[in-house]
Amino acid sequence: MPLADSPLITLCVVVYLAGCFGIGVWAMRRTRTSSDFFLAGKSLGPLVVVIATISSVMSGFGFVGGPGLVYQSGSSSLWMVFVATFSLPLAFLLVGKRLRLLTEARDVLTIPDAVAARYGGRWPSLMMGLAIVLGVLGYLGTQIMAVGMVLRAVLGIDLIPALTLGLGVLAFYSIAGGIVAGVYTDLFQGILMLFASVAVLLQCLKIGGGMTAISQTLWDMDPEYIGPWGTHGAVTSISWLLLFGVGAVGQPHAITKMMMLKDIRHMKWSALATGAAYLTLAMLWMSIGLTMRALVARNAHPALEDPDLAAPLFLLHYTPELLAGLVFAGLLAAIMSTADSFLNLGAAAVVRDIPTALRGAPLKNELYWSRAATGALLVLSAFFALYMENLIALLGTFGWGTFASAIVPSVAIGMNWKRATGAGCVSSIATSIVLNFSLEFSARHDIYALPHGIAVGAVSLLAATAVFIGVSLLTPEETPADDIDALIAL
Amino acid sequence: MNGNRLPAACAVLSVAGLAVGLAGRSLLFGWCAIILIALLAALGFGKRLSRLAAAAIICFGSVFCLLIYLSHDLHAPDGPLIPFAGFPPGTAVLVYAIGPLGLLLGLLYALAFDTEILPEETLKVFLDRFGPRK
Repeated sequence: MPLADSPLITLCVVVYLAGCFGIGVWAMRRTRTSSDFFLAGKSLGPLVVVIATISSVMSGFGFVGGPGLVYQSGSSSLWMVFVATFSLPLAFLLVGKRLRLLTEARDVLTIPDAVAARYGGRWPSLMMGLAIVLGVLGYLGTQIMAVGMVLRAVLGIDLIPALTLGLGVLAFYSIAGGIVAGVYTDLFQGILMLFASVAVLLQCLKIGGGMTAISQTLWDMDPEYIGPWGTHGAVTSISWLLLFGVGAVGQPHAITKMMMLKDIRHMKWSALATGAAYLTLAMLWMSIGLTMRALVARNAHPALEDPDLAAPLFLLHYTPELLAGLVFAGLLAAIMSTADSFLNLGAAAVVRDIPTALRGAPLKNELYWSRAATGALLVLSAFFALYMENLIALLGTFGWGTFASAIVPSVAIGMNWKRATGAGCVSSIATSIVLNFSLEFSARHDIYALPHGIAVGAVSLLAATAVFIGVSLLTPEETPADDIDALIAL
Repeated sequence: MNGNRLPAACAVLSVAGLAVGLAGRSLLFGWCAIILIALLAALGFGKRLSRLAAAAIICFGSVFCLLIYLSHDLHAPDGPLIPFAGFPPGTAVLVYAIGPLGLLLGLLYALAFDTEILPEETLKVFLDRFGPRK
């Protein structure tokens, strides 16, 4: 990543880090129980939930990888991001009220808790805990490397000191304040990201000479690039529509936020608001990639060595310093907001979900061990990211698809369908882990690639859904507990 | 309404989607994906799905299928660019129609919340039976 070499940009980032630190101190005083640590004591208002949901879903991938994908392949990746307008409302529709009400009826703090309540037995929640730990490790590794790269570029320091600084702040507010700190830093971050997206869109239109001029340049370069499917083609684009459109319902860092709402009636407008807010964030994803590619095609900017440099280079060369500073802070914010959500999910899986599935009860002094597990996960992920780069890259691509194909069938369909069984749940999660891992691994090592560029995660999602429903219908009917039965019937 | 029919239809659509996707039939793959999304939305409404909400979901799915077809059909890479609001026509369908169309699902959720998603009386009965202190 290029060096920013600007005191104003450095100041914006330092102010942001100090803000996170302050929120951590404030949140620490509000975190007294494991319910506070994992679900913010179910005390959040709708604005916090909406903004925290979109900022944790957007992540560093949205602010760096998204513009990079557009720069590289044109419109293809827009099918990932524009579908969020219905995917997040679909998540509210399928799981929102049921997960939130489940927290009233039972001591449910996590997705594996919800799976245990829905299906009983130890295997469904154990498998779900395992899927979450695997996905979290990969996601965390990629986010941690991104934190290091951004701070290195902004502060002009080596990777290790940059990582130490960034992870130090992240560790402090995640360990001390749990998800309370996470969601309030998400709120701060999300507002920054929304502002940055609109400002960057306007700046892109100004620099590129308007959307028609940008499109004309790109059409002259390659009509497929700016066509509706981009250079990856229609099958890949549609598979992304499916994976991101339906798969968002299965992202634990998004749907657990719905369990934190203080009043379930606030869900009424939250579904629409998350879709609209995400559509606003999509403007940055689209505009930077297209504008940078048009500038390169006009020979107004040298070709990029790495597509992921599209966003940082645009900010450094074509935006006012203050806007660049705010967007760099927003970029760091996006990465850290996702990282803190995953730290919390990973800690819950290690301290609560897996021990409960194996021993029948969570660990004693759960809050203490949750804080310890958060720190340990951060150190472990940093170690993996620094020294096991290939494993992290594999797990990073594996994350979204695994969550989607493990959680959509067993939670999103299972919470709405009385006939769903534990065997269906276990089979679909196993299908999800095995298919995602084996297909990603074989594609990375040139052993086998799916035809027509269809996304691995989309294939896994469809297969896991069919397996879940098929196995449920073929296994003996199970009678859910009264509260679960009432919840499904709601 | 939920019985086994909607989940069974989701399973059939998933298998069909896999088959047409792996065969490279992009338009059919898109339609399978959209019908699956519409079925999941209907599943989320549960037994209180009204005819009006069902009609709205069918409209959402039908318009979405039509827009996917238009994205295919309007893309003419061999001719000159004839932009619509700054984009080639097929891309404009994605940016100006498919993106905002999704918001209708959020709007439907809000409009149906008090009557079909979570009527106040239903919430009260559930909390009285299973809520805290019970």
